[in-house]
Amino acid sequence: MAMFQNLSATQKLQAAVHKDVRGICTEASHFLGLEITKPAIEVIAELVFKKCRVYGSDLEAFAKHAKRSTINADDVKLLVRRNPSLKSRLLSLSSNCGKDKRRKSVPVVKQDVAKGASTSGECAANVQLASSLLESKESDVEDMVVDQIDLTFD
Amino acid sequence: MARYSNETGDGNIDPASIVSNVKNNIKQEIIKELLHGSFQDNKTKLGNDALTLVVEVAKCLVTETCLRASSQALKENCDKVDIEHVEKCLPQLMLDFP
Repeated sequence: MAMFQNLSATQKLQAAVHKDVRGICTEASHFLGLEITKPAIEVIAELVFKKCRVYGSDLEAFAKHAKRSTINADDVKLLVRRNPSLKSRLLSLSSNCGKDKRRKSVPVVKQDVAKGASTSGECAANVQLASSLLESKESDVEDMVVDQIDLTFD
Repeated sequence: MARYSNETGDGNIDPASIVSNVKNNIKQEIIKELLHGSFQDNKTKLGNDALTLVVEVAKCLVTETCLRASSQALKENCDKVDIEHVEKCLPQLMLDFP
């Protein structure tokens, strides 16, 4: 039996894709109360593998045509332009993405604040001061900080 | 296991709800490696938001294939989704997906 370490880079990627596709497929078919067989999963994994390669070369060509060297969200939207439902799904996802990006910066602040709170042993007033010093732009920072305090005090 | 089988009834599937209910995901690193492997030019870079969207497209592709094959299996009164069901829905899928 071949060890994972001995496989070539492509085979490793294929194995990784296969693993993730198996998870999605079993979950999706269980929603309908069905079982999915192993060969069917293999076919779908192969399909995704080959499709992603085609997407890669397409996206590169789109970016090159726009005289960019970085592929951005617009290129992906151009890729899915023929499928309206998929396009609307991606549009809603990318509009949520902006919010997520802003949220991502919060946990860093949160951790720093939490560390300060736990070492000094001070209460909420100090923490709120620290959070306002660090970054007071986010309106939900204070809510999350309060959550963090509850967690640490538990 | 068959949580939604009664609600959806006979072959009347709501794909959108199932797609958003599937918790498993394809890892971003894998798609990133795959895309980088297919680039002709080494200077091409991949934006973070673009990667998120491609991962979503790939997930939709998997879920859609699986659901179409499942509804084909339901039509044929099978309780296992086999390779022949996938094969039957492949042509239309290739037309629908980019």
